[in-house]
Amino acid sequence: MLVMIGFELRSMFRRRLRNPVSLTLEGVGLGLFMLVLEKLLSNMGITSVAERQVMFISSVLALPAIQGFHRMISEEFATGTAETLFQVKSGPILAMLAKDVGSIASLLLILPFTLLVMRYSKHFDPSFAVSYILPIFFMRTGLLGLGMLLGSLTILFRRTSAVVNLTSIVMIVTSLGASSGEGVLAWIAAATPHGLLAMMLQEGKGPSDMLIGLALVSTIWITAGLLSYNFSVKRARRFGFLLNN
Amino acid sequence: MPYIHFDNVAFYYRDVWGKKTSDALCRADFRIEQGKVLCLLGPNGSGKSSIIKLLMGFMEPTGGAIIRPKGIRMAYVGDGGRNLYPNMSLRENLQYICSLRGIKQRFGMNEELDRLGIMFNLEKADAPVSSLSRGMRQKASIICALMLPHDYLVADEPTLGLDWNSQMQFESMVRCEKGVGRGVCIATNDNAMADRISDMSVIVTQKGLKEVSADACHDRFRA
Repeated sequence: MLVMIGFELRSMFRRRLRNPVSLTLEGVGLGLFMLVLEKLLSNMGITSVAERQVMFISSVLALPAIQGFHRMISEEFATGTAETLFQVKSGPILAMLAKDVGSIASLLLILPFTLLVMRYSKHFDPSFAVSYILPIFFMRTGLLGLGMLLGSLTILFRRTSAVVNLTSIVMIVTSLGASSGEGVLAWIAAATPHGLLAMMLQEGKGPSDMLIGLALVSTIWITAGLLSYNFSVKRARRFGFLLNN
Repeated sequence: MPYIHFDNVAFYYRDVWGKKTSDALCRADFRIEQGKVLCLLGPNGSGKSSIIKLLMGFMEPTGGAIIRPKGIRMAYVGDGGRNLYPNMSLRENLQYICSLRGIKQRFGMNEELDRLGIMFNLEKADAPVSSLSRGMRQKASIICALMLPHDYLVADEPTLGLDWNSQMQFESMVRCEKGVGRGVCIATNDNAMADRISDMSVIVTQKGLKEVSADACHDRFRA
């Protein structure tokens, strides 16, 4: 596992550092978007701007967790390299985790440029954002489970980009949403790691109050992700469409 | 010698809902022994690649069983080198596959890769696989498989797109594999190659399988 992570990190750094302009532009672009967002929220009279900024940053960090497995599986099927990946029993899971660590490291590379732009923000407080690292970590780990579930659908049905994109859009909108809603909507939000974090942030809960709830929801999603992955791979092997279609 | 036994294996393809889409194999019963070369021959669509997929564990038999010794390691040569990552070089592919399998890079691996590269006339071990021609990709796939620790070499149409010299090099490598006690299973339409290197051939048709010895295969080819 560590060897895989090392390999992914090395190739990611090599790829990223080969194109420093794109790296800078991505970071600056994210920062500028955050400033525009801040302006919009202030104009709308919303006071909890800092919380929403934390939620937005966490959503950007969480996107690869949701899309990563689906993207990897789709690419592997398209190029034919799934033949290599599925030779190892837990190969796809290992590769996904290693790629995920690589994508986090890649986002951390652009973060200094984002923070440089965010110096012009009136609301953004880096120490406030840093205090939420642990809840964000739990939320992100839980979303890997959701990502595995979506990837399992890709193994079964192949063309599932629309579902994955829709899920990502819902996630980003939730992070900016005015409220998590009531009744069923609140219940649905509380059942996902990302929605739960957004709800708790809006309720003004501190980082330590969020951990138990997030850990519980994340564990459920990881379990669901692993079960769905095992089910889909087993079915694909039995029915012979693991490498076909 | 340990062997892999296809014990009355049957397989038919189904879609995601379990509806039968096509037949692939019925009552396949043969052994792939270590220290021997087995060639799978037959017309297109007869089920050679399905046998390879069953052997590699990409599919599970619908009926019968595949009995493998515990802990055997397989190396796989895919058709047209499609099992290699196109954005990586051959060297990176090898490193990636090793790390995926949890194998540490052994001392002298790079030198061995360079030697095989010279042997197969592929001196672009550091160029992305996507920049290689089809034949070159096939060579890269063969080299990658040979470099991995394995007990069985499994290949699906390994000589497709190879020039004559490389075909001969591949055949000599297969003989080496056999010499060091590894099992080799090759699905091919190249009857002449099968005639030269196989100890046993299985002729796969849509009606069933027929196992023939090397001599019988030789006579069949001459006829």
